[in-house]
Amino acid sequence: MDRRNFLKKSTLLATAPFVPEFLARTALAAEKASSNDTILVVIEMTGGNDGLSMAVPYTDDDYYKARPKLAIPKAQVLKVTDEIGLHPSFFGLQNLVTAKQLAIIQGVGYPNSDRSHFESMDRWQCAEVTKEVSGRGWLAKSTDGLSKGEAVGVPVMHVGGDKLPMACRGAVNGVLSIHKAEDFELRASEDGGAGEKPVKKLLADVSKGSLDEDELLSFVRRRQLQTFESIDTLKEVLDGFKRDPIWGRQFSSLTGKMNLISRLIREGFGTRVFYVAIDGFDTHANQLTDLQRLYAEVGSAISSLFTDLARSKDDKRVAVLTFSEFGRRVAENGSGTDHGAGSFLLCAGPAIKGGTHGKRPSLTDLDQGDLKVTTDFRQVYATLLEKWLKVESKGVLGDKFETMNFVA
Amino acid sequence: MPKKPYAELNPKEEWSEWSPSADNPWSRKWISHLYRRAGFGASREEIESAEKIGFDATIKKLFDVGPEPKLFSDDGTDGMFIRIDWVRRMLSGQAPLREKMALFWHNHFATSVNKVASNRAMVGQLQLFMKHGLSKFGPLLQDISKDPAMIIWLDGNTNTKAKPNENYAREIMELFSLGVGNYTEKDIREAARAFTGWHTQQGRFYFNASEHDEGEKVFFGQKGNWNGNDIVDMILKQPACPRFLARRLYAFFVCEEIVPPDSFLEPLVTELKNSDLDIGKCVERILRSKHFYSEQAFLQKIKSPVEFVIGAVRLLGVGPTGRLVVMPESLIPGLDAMGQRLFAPPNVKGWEGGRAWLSSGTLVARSNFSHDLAHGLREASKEMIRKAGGSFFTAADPLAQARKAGMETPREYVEFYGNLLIPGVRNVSAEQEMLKHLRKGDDSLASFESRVRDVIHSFLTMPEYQLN
Repeated sequence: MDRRNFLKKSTLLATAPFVPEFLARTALAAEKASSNDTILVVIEMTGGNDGLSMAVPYTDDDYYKARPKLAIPKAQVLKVTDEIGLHPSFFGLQNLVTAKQLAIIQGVGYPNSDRSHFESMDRWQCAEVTKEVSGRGWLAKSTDGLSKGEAVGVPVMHVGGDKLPMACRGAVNGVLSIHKAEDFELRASEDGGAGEKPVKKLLADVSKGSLDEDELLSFVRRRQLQTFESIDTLKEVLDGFKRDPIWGRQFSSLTGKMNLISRLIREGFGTRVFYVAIDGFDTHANQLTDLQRLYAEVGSAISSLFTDLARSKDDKRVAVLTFSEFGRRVAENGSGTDHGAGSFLLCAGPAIKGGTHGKRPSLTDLDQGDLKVTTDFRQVYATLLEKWLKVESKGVLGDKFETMNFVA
Repeated sequence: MPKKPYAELNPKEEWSEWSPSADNPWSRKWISHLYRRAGFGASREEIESAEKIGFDATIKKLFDVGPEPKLFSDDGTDGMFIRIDWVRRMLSGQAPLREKMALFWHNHFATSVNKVASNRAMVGQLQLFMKHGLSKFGPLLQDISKDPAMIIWLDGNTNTKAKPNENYAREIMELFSLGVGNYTEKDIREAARAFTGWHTQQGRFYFNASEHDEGEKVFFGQKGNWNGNDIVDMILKQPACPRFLARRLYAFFVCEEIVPPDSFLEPLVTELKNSDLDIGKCVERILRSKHFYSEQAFLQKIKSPVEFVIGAVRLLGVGPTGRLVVMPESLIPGLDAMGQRLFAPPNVKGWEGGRAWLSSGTLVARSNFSHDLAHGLREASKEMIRKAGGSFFTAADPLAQARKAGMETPREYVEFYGNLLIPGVRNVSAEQEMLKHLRKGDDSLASFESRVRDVIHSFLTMPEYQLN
């Protein structure tokens, strides 16, 4: 199915008098090919990923002193630079490392970082460092910029069954959350009944009403209409995905979700930012085994995405970013580590400059037992917005931040 | 957003006791509102009974929860049967406020069977919520600190003298009692030491003296050889504690869209302070207040999946005799699809709630559940039977009540269900669409009834119905 057919199949678009504006734009976008748009895939590593296990300072004796049980032996790391290597479970990323397309961004965070999962996650997601965040996510704030130029209907998409992440919340239109195919199977027909079409029409009709009287009610109305008008289209992609003999059964894995994202990219859905999450990084205990499993999953998900996209040469317009709400304490607590500061991020893709970026935080000059933050996370966002997605970053981040060099 | 900014409201006046008046009478609108918030929605009989006995007696009845029930449990590890049993109790309408408070605390001390892997431990925790849920917070916080499910959930067993684990020490302050900004990182580290050796053994709390740190700790500036009980006592004395609880209760019972300023919540905070943190007193103050029976609260929340499902079934899941016939186990797949799996909240902060309940996927799940309920769960039955492993299920007949009440014309049906499902709300254009739907198509009774079921389905998908 080509992009044009794929988007035009939604008959609702042609007939519904109540098409939300963003979907009308989707239909418009179908008229043009937009194969030059860059795409960002964000992977949230939920729980506070231990940066020192992911990007191992394998020549630093202080690392081995601080982590008698949990350190990764030098011989096992996948060397990225003379000082830093990846955890061995990232074997899937070897090709990207060799091609110098994997960037490690070090010591990332914000001043006086909060060690609460939720407070810190909210700040990362809203790109705000004040005590009370606005609740509007940085990707939601980017939707206007992402829709400019070649029209895009759903600029930001969350893939997964969890709640919509805060990063994607707060946009009036243009953000969708998708899960498995059955979620979009709207049951509406009955034997001997009125038939599917009139019932679906009834459901859409009763969702209408004033959009400015009551704020909460208007929110539900908008979300409901957006859902009813877009499900037919999404169902088609998802049905194709469901029929896939391998990935159709593995949607819950990160790699399964990446496969769906790859489909949406290859079929020209036009989305510019995809968001996925993988939970389990809050390794207060059992860190060694948990991280082995999690890193293997992240690594193979990223590598399979690029392998898949390379077939259609779409890999060149895709970059993947991982992030986590904070790093963990330098000292171990037994079989795990407690909440710390200074996160490490990975950014990968054919257009990404491999190696380490940002100043490496010292393992001995600590702030209450934690790594010192050397790079503001908003610099990372600014770099991706300005240099990769071509979105004016000040409007999103509220201020101008110095960009970095991991995007060429 | 509330209708009026908090700055324009007088806290004393808002939190004073409401009395129904000719302008704003004790009506279906407020009865349904009260039962939706303080329980899981009213059945038709409960609405009629509340109308008869009046406001004061209805509140008294809600608080008369009777003796603490002994909860069912089994040796499972996936929470399935205990989940079904809880849904059964919610459906039954017995002591709805106690069940609702148990859900409040389950979300407050959010613990998941996915890690705890013991139905008995999860029910043990729920039993604490049944016991303390409407009384003083102090004993609850003490008990929860020794609760085996909680200890497993927040890694208490790895909290040892040599290697303190800060997980519980952080969350007890951040999420359970005080909120961020009311303690230091140092307080967390010291509290973790005080909880060292608080372990479990064979599913019970066990004080592992050899792993307990007997050294001096400095907590909230006070020096001493504190243990976990001391830490909990000191936490309870913090002025931030009643404020934190008042905010949580306000979000749960009144509105979670924004956090009101402290000055507005002051009467609730004082109520808690003066009663040694008696939760029941504070909840009663809320449920009797003018504020609660005002447009500031009415439909200013999004129904959680549990509220959506149980509420709809209590009204519509009835057979020809008017008795509830929908089996609790048949509701589990729907709740899952809508994003609320009891005993398995997503993380220690609980379900996010509010607007986060509604994504494209969960809205479709709400609609599909509504379809199944309205049509007597006929179409879905095959797949659902497969999913649930065979033991299914009586078809509801949501039409029975309307027929019994003598409804005949399209208009009568629309009014009947509107009055039942969204009392106090009118959406004229939606009603017109429903009437149109009922009037077109053939005249046979079967066909007309099928269209009435479509209308019931559409009532449950209305944006107004998603609100609480």
